[in-house]
Formats: sequence, C-alpha cells, structure tokens
Amino acid sequence: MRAIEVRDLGFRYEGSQDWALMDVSLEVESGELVLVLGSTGSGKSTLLRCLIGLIPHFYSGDYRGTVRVMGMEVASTPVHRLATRVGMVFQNPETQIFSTSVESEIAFPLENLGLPRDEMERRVEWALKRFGLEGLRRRNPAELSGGQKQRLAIATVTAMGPDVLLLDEPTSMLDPLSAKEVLELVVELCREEGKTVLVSEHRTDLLAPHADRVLAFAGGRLVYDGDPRGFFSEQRLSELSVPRVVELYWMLRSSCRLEGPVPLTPEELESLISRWIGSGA
Amino acid sequence: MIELRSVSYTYPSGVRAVVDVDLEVREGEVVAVMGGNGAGKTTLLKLMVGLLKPSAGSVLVDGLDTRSTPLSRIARLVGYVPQIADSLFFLPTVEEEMTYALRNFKIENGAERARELLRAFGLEGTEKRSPFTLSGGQKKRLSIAVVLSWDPKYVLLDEPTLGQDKAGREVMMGIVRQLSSQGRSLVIATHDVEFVSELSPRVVLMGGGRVIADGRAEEVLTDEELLRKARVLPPQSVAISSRLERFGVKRTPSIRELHDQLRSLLSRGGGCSESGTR
Repeated sequence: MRAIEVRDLGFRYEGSQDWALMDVSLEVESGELVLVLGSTGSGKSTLLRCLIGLIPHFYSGDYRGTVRVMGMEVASTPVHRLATRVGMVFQNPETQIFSTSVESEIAFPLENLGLPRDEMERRVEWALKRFGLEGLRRRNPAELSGGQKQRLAIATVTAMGPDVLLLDEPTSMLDPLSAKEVLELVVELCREEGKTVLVSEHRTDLLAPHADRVLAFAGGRLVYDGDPRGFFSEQRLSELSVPRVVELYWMLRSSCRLEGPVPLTPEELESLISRWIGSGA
Repeated sequence: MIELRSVSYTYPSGVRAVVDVDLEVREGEVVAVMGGNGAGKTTLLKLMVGLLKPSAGSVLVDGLDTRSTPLSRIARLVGYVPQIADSLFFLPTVEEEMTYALRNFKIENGAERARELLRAFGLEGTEKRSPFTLSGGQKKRLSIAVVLSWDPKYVLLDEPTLGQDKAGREVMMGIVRQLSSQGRSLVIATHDVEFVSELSPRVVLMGGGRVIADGRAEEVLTDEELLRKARVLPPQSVAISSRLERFGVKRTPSIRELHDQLRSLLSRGGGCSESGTR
C-alpha cells in the first residue's frame, strides 16, 4: 500500500521571493525507511511540514500540487484527523515536551484523541516499555538528559499510533552515543513496528546502511530518488556530508582505481579490500 | 595560561557538574574538551571565564584568581562564545553589538576593527540589521566576531558546530585554524568527533564532571573503551581502521592518513599505481 503520494508540490513561504519547494513528485510505500538528505535551505524540512500538514494549515504562502498521506489529502483534511495517522519529531525535543511527568507527557495527546481510559493506559504502558522509559515514568521531563528527552518525544508521538513517522534531524542536539541509540530506535520502529519512516539526518553513516531509499533535495528540488548505494556511488552533492567509508572509497577509487560497489559500512569496505588484494588486480 | 587547580563546581540544585579537575591551558594551544551531554563541558568553560566561581579549588587566568579579580578584567583576557549565539546579543543592530565591548574596554580604532572583523566573517552589509534576523550560521559567526572585537588572548567556543550543515562546519574549521595560526589559545567544548579528528588538537575527555583522559587526538580518539565511558562514539575513521587491522592497518582518527595507509597496502598487492593521487 502507498503511504505517501506527492504530485507536483510547490511551496513558497509568505514574504519570500523563492520557492522553498518546486515540482516535487514522489511516492513512498508503506513500511519503507527513507533517508531525506539536503543542506540548510534545500527544502527538506519544508517537505516534512507539507506531509504533517503544518503546511498549508499553519504556515501561509503559495501552495501548489497535491499531497496525500495514508489516502488523505493533506490540504483538505483537518490537522486533528491527520495527527492520528502521521506524527512528527522535531530537532529539539524541548520544543515538543511540556508536561510535568514522563507518564503524563505520553498520555496528553491520547486524552486529546478522546480514547477510552483503558486503551489510554494500555498505550502509555506499551510506550513506556517499548522505549525503555519505565524507570523514568514519574520523573519531570525537564530533568532528563537530551537523549532521554528525544526518546520521550518519539514515544509520545508513536503512542498515538501513527502509520507514518517523520523525524526532522532528530539527533542534531544529542551527544554521539545518544544519537546512535535514537537512530537504532528509529530503524526498529520501521522494521519491527512496520511504521513508514522519513528521517532527515546528517549522521548518514548511521542510517545509510539501513535505509531503503534516499530522497535528496537541493535548491527546493528533488534531485535524487533511489536506493542509498546508488546515491553514494557518485559524488552528487558536494554540500552534503557522506559517511567516511564512502569518502574513503571515492579517494581510493581515484588514487588506486579501486573497483566494486560503494561500501556503506566498515565491514563492506573490509570485504572489498580483502577481495581486491586476493584477486591481485 | 589558564590554570584549574582541584576545581569542583556544584550548582545550587546540588548537581556536581565539575569534580576535582586539574587542567592547564597554555598559550597558543588548541584544546578540545569532549564528552556526552551533561559531562561538565559547558560548566568548565564558564569557570574559565569567571562566569561561575569554583565551589572548591581555584581558577587562575595569567595568574589572576577568578574569585578575587573583577569579571571585566578576566573577560578582557578570555572571550567566551556560548552555544546559543542569541544569548550573547542584546543590542538593536549588528554594528552596536560589535562596538559595545570596544567602548567599555576603551579600545581605540574600534569602529575600524569592527568593520574588519565583519568583513573577515562574511557579515558585511548586515551592520544595520538586528542580530536576531540573521541566519543560524551568520549568528554563530557574529557571536565569534563580537568576542574577537576586544582581541582576547584565550577564546572559548561552546559547541561551535552544533546544528550546522557541512558548509557551516567548513567555515567554522577555517575560523578555528585561523585563530590558532594567530597564536591564540582556543578551548573548544564539543561532541563533534569528526570535527575534532580533522583538527587534531589536544583532547580532554570528560565524564561525570571529571577529566578521564588528556592527550593527543591520535591517542585519545583511538581508545574506543575510553570514548565509550565518555559517551563519545569513536571517529568513523577509527571504526573503519580497527576493522582493517588484520591487513596491518594502524588505527587512526584521520581519514587522510587512513587513505595513505590503504593506498600503500593496495599498491603492495599491485592494485594501484604509487603515482596515483586523489
């Protein structure tokens, strides 16, 4: 089933001369893990805002084309209805956390959905357990570490039961180990819970080996839509950080004419080099 | 020299952010202070500039004790660039931000110096704008320019690359290299291990408020167990090179050095020409 369908999407923020997004068409199948790449101002955050409905419901500007998420046309569907099927996690968890306990943070949006009490309790318990927050349930979120806060933000959004999860640079405020843990969680949400996940992330080394697709943006346009290996096999966008293993492969390809498919992990580079030496090329 | 002698700092909430730290920052040195969120990096910088006074021990800047010396005297020597640039700005225009400290420190030719710095940081033309209307990268550069306006001997940078894309990080690398080549001492609190790998400074690793390692980047950043204790992931080059140890590859945080090692490995197997360049 198709989770996302975008046709000829364009958006220009009010007061801006330039189109933040232009002529974007794409489709995402249910259960896919999609890595969204692009530098600041490339349009990637604007795309995510269009998918969650922040655009056009909260941001004003010129809007063109159609966006359908889980069969709903975003522009004509009320945000509260969209919110049951699609959830978003932002860069800075501080901006979406406001309750006085971890438990009530997760429960708050469920109350707003008007769920029966036992269903609400079931979901809160599930989320606490699933995201390793059981021991923190009565803690004030303000006292949690950055990584714990981001885990709480993801737990809260996921407890609402969305089919599609959007994460906009979810680790940029976190220390490296917390970042790795959060991204592992994101991969699990896709593989184990069957969520459709779109994540924009600069730590490409941690996600590229797991992603099904790469969508790359530059200057408001979609410039690549395909598998990660295809994306990293060429130096496409010099403004993007690529995994070091990819950088190394490009260096060796030009200095040593190293051949073979681009490796996305140290293990893949190891076997590439092992084969290269073994073949005595 | 900035000297920390058995320094501890406990916040009024009871959190012990810095515990019994001995550290010296010598003139002309570049020091990266690394560690996870909550390791005590920011508190350490605030102690060095005298914004916080130690709960125990003492902090000396060129021999001046931060507890008994007026803050303005310490600040003349030590410039502190906070993580969030916004927290530094309070005046209506970029120009006024740039000249405010110069007037207070009674530095001559201030206006000219301010113009030079704005040019050097690619901020020409923003003089009459409010600092708050600048882009994230511009704000970051302005915050450094403001601090450099009074020419402090020591510059402390708190997470200079946080939230920046590749271009922003490259600009920051250029700024850091330039400041260092001018002989300024730099202390950079960061968990951006790739940035530090490229810079290759002295690395001070913090965990739970304590210094758990202090050494050259090549030593500290290749010790994976130590890094894990500090909640820092090893640089990707270290993860890659440790995977290739069976080919005789040495662990290194530097991607260039790793490339050179692999090039000579592959050329031994007849895989590439020695004359090849990248």
